[in-house]
Amino acid sequence: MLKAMQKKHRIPSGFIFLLPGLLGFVIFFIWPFVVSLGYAFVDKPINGTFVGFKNFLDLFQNRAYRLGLTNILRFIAISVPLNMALSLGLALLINKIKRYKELFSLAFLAPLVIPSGSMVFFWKALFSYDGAINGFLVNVGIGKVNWLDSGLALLVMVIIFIWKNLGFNMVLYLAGLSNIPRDYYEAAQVDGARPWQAFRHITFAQLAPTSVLVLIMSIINSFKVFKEIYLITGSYPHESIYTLQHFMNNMFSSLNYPRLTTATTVLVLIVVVFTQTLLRLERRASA
Amino acid sequence: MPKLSLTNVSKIYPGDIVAVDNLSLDIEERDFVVLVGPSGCGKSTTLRMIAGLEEITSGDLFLDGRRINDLPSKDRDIAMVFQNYALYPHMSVYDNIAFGLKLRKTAKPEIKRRIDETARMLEIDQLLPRKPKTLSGGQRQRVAMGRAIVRKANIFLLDEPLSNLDAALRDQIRTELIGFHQKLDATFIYVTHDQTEAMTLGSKIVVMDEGVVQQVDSPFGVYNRPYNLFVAGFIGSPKMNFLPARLEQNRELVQAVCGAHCLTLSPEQSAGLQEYLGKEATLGVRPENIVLYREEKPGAWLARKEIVEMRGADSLVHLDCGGFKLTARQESSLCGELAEDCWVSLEGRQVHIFDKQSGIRL
Repeated sequence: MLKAMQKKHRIPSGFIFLLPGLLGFVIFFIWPFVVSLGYAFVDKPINGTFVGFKNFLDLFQNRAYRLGLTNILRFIAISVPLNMALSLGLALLINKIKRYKELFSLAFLAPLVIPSGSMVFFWKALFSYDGAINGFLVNVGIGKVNWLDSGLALLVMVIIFIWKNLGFNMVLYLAGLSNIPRDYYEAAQVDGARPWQAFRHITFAQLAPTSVLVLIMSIINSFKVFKEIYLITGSYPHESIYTLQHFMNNMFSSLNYPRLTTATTVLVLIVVVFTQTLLRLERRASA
Repeated sequence: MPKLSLTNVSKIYPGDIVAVDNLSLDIEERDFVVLVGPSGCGKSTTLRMIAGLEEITSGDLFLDGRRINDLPSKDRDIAMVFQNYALYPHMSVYDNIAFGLKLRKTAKPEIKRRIDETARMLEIDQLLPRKPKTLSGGQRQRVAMGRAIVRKANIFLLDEPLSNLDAALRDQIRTELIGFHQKLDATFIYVTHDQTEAMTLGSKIVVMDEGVVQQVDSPFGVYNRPYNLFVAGFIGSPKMNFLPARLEQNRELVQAVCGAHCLTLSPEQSAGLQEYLGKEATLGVRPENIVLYREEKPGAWLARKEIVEMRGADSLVHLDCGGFKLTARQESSLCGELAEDCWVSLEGRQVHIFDKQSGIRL
């Protein structure tokens, strides 16, 4: 039947295999986004009138939105490079060891499969005012620190993000490292390269496509850290960790769909432009 | 004093896997030494130990009389061409060739001068701005060669550099390699499993098997005076024919008795075989030393023609000679004249007699 269909309508077989996944993606992702996009241009969700780009202009004048955007950019600027450096370092270490490589990789992947909700208790027990870390600090003679309700909350957010994503990025880097032929290092060794030069000229250069992928995934994942933060600190956390997701969540709670979808549209645009730019730069570099 | 000397060198991997066993070899300045043998015979491991990419388990490696076992690769004055070329894909051809010089902090004008000179010699001037992935196999091979040449090293190590090329290109680059060796006036150590490559390139051939050197000799030597059955069988294509034989006295001479057939050996050969009379041996004869006749000749053996492989100017004739399988090389123009049954004559002077137990040529 498939062959008959293909013959009659000249449908590429690749497209037919792609169809089930594509349908799901369109129904559950693209269509809702297109529908929500419509809300960004009306004044209210029901019987709304078209207002053009007014919602976008209002959005950028909203203090809470600007705070959320600034905070998330600051968070990305700190956590993403840190996470990339740590996961690359870890991958290099694990790549060097000969035994129990899989065991170490699995250990670092564990946070990915632990449900966020179940970890909230742990993070609270660790960082709350009467938590384990403050208990330790008191014991060593340093006073208590307000981890979750001060500027340090950003640090907690970074720690949670790294805990959650380190293993995933590390696996991506391990895959990238395993694709670098040993010959390159040996040729460099004969040419007189020191370990640092071999890392710079071979490992780092050869990992460029992996690094772009890790960067994109890290940025996308950095928006997902909201779950843990929200469960620990609620809808209105300390100003330093009030992110775009808090803003959107609050807009959803107050049924302000036009503002919510406007913020979503801006976010999607930022992510698309950023990832496309990165991918193009990477393609051009490797051409 | 030899340029490079390996003395009782062994390489044993964890799990007591012996890759190279007690290898001793002297390599003179400007030698073109070819390490040849089947896969896993330890030839690449030997090359890698010379390069400093593999630790020597025991034994000594000397360069110009200086022990260099623990000397880092970069200080050994060697350049290496890898089997897969190992060209850095993110660098242009120019940068690939310049890489070693940059690491050694060579001045930029000098780098450019040397690269231009090397590129001209290898005829890759036009390829310098290109990335390796845009090059053909032959061009990549030249760039890999260029990367080694530009270093002006004293010793060039080449690890099966032609194995990824098609037959025509392999022949062409093989000829070029001989030219480079003469131009560069350097010592070449070349690894291959291809005995044709070994015979055409090497001034000295090292035949290896199971980590042990079987013979070190000139191409003429390994072909015409193989030390043992392994060398006799490995060098030469098609391989040497082997027949079980018993050595007997035939008046003043020695004759090899192979089943119902006899072959009287030359007086020179007979002289050295007196002590082996009555003993079992293996008779070896190369396909080109078998002469085929349409009619019976004195001393010739009756054989049945089984298959004829046409190879151009000559053909390989596979024969059944009273239960023994033989391959003869014959001019193609003469093959058509042969009937199903023909007569086989072995050239007595050109046969080799090997000890049955040790496999060593007698």
